[in-house]
Amino acid sequence: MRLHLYTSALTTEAGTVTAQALTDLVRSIAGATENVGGIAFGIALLLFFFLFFKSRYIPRILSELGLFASVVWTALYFASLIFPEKRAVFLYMCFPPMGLAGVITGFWLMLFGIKNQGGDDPIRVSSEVAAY
Amino acid sequence: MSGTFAEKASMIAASERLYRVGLFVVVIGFLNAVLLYFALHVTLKRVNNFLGQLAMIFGLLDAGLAAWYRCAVS
Repeated sequence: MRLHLYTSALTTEAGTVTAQALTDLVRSIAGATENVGGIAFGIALLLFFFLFFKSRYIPRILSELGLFASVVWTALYFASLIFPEKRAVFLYMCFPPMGLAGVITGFWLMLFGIKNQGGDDPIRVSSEVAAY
Repeated sequence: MSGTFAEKASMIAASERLYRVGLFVVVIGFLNAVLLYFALHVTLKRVNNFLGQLAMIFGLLDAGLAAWYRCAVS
């Protein structure tokens, strides 16, 4: 199947809309979407690293680094919604810690897996003890 | 990709295979992200099921928006 690209002007009730204008509109929407997606990503990783921190499945230093990176990431993505002119600076600040935390955690989980103390799940055991 | 709409369209038409490879990579990236967030949820739901689910929902939201963004700006 061939790829079809329409480059002619489109006619609507309001008049003629050029493909260029539609492209610019989609691009501006995509810019805002990227910001919202970045905030969702930051909140997701914040929760995941919080659960890693609580469970001690990975070393504490790693989960603390992840928590720090997620907080910085989320805060700076919120800030770039308010100060879009400083977006490049914010991205320059929030990418290194998140990249570091993400890559190290990924390699840690790939190489060592999660730390399960003595074969028993500490959370389950503690809740069972509490119930008993 | 820079330039006007017509320039971009002609560039895409000139290298259609590369454009399709790009779309394929976006889809693979999206599926990998879904798998990652689901795996993290399964791993961490024993710690706190509600927070694990919430994190997965935010992660899936990000994966969907990121895929849409990459398709839109390409």
